[in-house]
Amino acid sequence: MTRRLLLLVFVLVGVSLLTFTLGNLVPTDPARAALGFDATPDMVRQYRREMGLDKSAVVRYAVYLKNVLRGDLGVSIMTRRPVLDDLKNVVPATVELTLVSLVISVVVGACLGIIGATRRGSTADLLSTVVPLTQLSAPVFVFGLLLLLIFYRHLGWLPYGGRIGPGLTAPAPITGLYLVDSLLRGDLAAFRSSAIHLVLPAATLCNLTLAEMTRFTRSAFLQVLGEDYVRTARSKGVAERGVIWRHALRNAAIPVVTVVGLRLGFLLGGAVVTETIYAWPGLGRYAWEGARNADLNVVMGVTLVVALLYSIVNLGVDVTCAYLDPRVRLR
Amino acid sequence: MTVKNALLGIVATVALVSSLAWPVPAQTQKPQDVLRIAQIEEVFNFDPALMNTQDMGFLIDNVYEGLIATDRDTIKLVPKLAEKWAFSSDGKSLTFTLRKNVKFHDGTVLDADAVKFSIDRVKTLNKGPAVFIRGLAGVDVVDKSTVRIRIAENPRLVFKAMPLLMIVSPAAIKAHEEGGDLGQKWLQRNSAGTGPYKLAEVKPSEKQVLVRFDDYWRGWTAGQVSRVETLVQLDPSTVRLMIERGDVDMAPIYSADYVPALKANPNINVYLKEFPFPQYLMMNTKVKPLDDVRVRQAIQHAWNRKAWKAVTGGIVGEQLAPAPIELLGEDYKPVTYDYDLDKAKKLLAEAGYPNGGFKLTFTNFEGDSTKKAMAELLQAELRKLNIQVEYRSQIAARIFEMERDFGKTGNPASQIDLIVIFTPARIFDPHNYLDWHFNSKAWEYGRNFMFYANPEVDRLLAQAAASLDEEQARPVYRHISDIVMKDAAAIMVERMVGKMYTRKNIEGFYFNLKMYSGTTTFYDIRKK
Repeated sequence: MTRRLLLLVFVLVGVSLLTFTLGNLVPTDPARAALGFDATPDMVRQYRREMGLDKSAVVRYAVYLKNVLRGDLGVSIMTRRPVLDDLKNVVPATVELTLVSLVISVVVGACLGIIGATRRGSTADLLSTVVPLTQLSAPVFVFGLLLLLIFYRHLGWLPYGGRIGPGLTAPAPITGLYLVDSLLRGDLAAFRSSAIHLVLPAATLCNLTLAEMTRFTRSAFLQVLGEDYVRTARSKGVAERGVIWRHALRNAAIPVVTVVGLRLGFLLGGAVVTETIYAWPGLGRYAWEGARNADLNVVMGVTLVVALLYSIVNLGVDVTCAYLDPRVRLR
Repeated sequence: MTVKNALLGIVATVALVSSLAWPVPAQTQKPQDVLRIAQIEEVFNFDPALMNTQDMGFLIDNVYEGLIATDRDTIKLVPKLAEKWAFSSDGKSLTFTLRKNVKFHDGTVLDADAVKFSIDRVKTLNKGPAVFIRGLAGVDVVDKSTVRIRIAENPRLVFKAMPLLMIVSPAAIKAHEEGGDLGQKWLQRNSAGTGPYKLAEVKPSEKQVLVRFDDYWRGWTAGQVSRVETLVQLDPSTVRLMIERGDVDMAPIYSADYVPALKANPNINVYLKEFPFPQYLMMNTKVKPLDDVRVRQAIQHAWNRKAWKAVTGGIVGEQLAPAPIELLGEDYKPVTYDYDLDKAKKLLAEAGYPNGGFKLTFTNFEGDSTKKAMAELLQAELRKLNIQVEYRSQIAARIFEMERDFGKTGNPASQIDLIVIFTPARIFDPHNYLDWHFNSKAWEYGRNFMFYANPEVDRLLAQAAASLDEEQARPVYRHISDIVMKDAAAIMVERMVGKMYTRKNIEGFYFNLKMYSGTTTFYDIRKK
């Protein structure tokens, strides 16, 4: 575990150096980007002095690293707020959306995958494959707008976006996850509103993962169901339910867990289109706006956070795999 | 796992979620005195000394006020926090008499010290509106209600920039200053103005909330909104659904594509208005073959205004002169180029390109679909002259850097042949447009993408800028317009048409001519 933590530090420093280098190679002037195209040369010079942009790249990186160690990720030229403050808003929003979306994908995808594997060649198998693939074929923005059109515009069942109804106050942050924080604060109105606001964005985000979960689960199950020990269990008279839940599931879960981990890491990087359609104040939109505005502090901050999240997710996957398969040793 | 169990599981989940959904929380229920507006470009800055185009529409006359303001229906300047003003005979000073008993949001009273503090603050921070008051030398307090602005140069332009200078409470700023920042950090979450609304809440990427300032000097009457919520929603399709459902009372959507459908909606008012914000299609006069005026004139003759009007569904303003006609005078007849491909071919032949045969690159701002459509139309027309137009897009920061790099070094990698530039009206004066784009030095600060350089134009611009009398300056600006149009460096494509959609129960909306960004003066809004 110590080795992994040291590796994590190494990864973060390496990622920050790479991003900083690339960011400085991009031929834009962050001072001019911050001040707008009206700015006169002396305004730009003053701003560069104020923000330390007149120093060499090596000095600026050293200062940046020093500040990061103090928890200061710099100020966004775009939002004019500390990047850390911005990340405290956007990261929990993305984590919440991602987790809910992934839970839906995994549960529904696993069900469909298991049905497909156990009813191979049947109509149920066909439907369990065709439906998610059809969903995947629709671009995210089309799928998202379609859901809005049906469930928001015409039926009025679900809201257009945001994390909570405009008439309500967000729960005071503990984790930053509205569902969790509202429950911890005993604010049922906020809980309901947050949950309802998650439905459409999470369903849209499932567009990216549901088909994958279904196919992976189906493949993993098919492989496992063909193993000797499963044949042995059946020949011993174990009921099919027992074969699936006690023998097959745990072993089929290992590759699925790995894919879930990869997907989780990917989604935690933010889903720009989904966040834009539903006005979800998440990491993807923040990163996209930062890149568009040549806001290096934002890009650096997001990169560090995503690298950290990826590392945590990878660790979680390894721990889970070790739990599922005792043959895997966690070092 | 049986199919039945799986389906039961899914149905149970849907039922659970549905049980949360009813009754639907108060998304569409809102009190009568709350105004909800969709914000299609997020406002990030709330400090009036750092304002750019996007922030102005939100802050000016809503949260902050200046000594003078732009009239709601014309481009004239009218009193605001100042009751009256007078220039000295030599134009070197401008004296304002302040309105009495005007309070700031913190309860302190407006006086000359506050005005001096506010303007000095803008000059010290040297950002945003500071660029427009370079000719302002200083501010003197004459007495509690009188303040004198000392002007070093270009008095008319300094005066016209005064609506951009917002007056803030010195007491509030000083009380919340951090590390000598003159209150910049505090003002991103709080307000210290005299405007009818105070900044109550900012949730980044989600919303901003303004609440009524009860002690506003103009007073309040029944029916005015007491709370304004601007909801950040960047996707125009979603904004359309929101205004149709009534979840927002007002929504700006820039694309003309939505106009027909929303016009047909009986619950929605559609407001369209031409703004004095021209869009110019600029040609780089420093590169071959665009350095030949005949080639540029040929391309001018290839711009098909009728086709562009059809592309925009007729929702486009005519722009023929290099500055808005209301500033040059309605009787001004600009030099124009009609759509005539035969004339274009003749000019190309004279320039040594009888069969066209060259390629140009059109550079666009990433994500700007309107300018992309302009590029596509130009591509189609120039193809008829055997001129190829290659399209590319870049982020704005990169484009401005390319311009400066090309201007300094001539680096071919930074060359921009064709680009469309939009000109917001920060000050309503021909100088705002003509100097911005045709001053030979203006490329150094993100303008004049054409690298147009004409010493005579530079001389005339300086002469006109120094004139205190607008009427005296007008003939000079007309002469400048004639010269630059004959030099044909920029095609006058259109003037912007502002589009705003409101629910039928909203009264009092009007387009503030400075506020293309899709807001209005909330004080004038009533909800039936």
